[in-house]
Amino acid sequence: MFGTLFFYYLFFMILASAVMMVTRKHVVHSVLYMLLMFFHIAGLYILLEAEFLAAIQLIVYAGAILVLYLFVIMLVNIKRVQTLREQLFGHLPFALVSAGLLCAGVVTVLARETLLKKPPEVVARVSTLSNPEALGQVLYTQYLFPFEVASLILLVALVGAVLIASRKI
Amino acid sequence: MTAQVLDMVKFLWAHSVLQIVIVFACTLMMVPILTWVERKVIGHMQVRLGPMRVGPHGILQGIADGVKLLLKENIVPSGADKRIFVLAPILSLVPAMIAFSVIPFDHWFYITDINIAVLYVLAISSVGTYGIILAGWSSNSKYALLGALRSAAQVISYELAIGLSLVGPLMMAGTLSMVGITKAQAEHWFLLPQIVGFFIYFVAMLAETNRSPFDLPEAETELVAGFHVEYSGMRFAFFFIAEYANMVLVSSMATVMFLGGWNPPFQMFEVMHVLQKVPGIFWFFGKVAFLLFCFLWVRATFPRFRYDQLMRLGWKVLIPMALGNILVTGIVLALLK
Repeated sequence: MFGTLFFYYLFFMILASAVMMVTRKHVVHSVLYMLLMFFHIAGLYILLEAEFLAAIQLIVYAGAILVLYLFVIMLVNIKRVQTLREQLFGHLPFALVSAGLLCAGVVTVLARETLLKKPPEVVARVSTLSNPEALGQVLYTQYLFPFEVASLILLVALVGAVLIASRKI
Repeated sequence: MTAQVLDMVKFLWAHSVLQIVIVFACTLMMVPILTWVERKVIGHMQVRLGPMRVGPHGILQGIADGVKLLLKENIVPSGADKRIFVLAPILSLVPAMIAFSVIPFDHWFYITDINIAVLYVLAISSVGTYGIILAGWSSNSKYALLGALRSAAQVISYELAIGLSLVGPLMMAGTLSMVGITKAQAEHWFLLPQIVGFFIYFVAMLAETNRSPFDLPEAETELVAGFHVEYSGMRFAFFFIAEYANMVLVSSMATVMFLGGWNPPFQMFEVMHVLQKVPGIFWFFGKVAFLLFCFLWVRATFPRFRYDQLMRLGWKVLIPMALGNILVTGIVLALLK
């Protein structure tokens, strides 16, 4: 009962803050609504008993990426941003197409999940452990290879960023 | 009647309401005491007397300052973004207060024990940055904006060092729960095996709370007062309380992660078990008080760093050291297994 109520609260707040984020005149206000949205998405993770993911959501998105956004916005000339906003409706067809594709993707994944509903043994094994422990065990055994590939990609991005920065100076 | 009151107290305790009230009140009360202690300690280190006028040896100075701030006019600059200007002090105070909810003060006294407690504290304290950035930006003042930008860069850089320095103790304890980490230190504190981690944490915690010698966001001599230059009255007091609450918070974190939390020292010797007669909460607050004294000690001793020195220390010294510490800890733990 409480969980359902909490879910509808999160659902409403995520939608509302997303709409507010897109429609605000001032970019800094948009970023603040985005922060609100990230918090409520973290709430969704907690509802799904994925506490680790909730904490990471806050640390990475709210703590690092959004701060960087704020940084950039403060240094960018606001007047140029406003002319960008006026051209916004020119991008409407692209926006509609990409939103439609995303929506179709989400719908197909959800439909397949509900159709091919089989109890995965991983869930059963993992649900006995606490969340960070379970995640660690699965990441370092079953999904070790994709995990290492992801970290390699991140490392390449890191080296690339350092290279670009040093070339400019 | 008394039975009813007792039942009520038991109910509130079981649902953590009482603990929340006590922790909240204590943290707020710490602020006037800590400001008085700070001025006294630094005064004596500089062969002055410090505050002497209000009460015996100026002990009521903090309360007098608080009343003064309460009664002062709240000024909002005409060029400021009003809503964000009002929001910023709240955004900096609230994270500092709610992070205390996972700190175990004793084995029977903590608000909650969750299995991601350390990550929770890191996540919540990263939100405190918004208070500072938004305060600087919404004031519509050059000094405030410069202070805010400096502070944001500093806090983001040193958050990495703090996070990495905590990985060592986490690996040794094998859990993210603060109660679990304290229990893992019942015999040996993590201070000695993790001395490198503790050093990194100590330096980074000074920077993370914008304290001297890393108080560049405030830097009176160049930026007047940095990000809160346009704030007055109660809103300024919010920033002030947040800074001191953050100091207590990072000291408590260091106590839990490295100094054994509520555990008394030297428990590997049988003789020293007599120290367990002293309540754990006493040990906890003793350690926190010592760390807070170190904050003031450092402030009275070191001159302020230059901005590029600060960044170099963070990125080129502390973070590689922390990564090395994780590697060595991992190898040693794997060999001991």
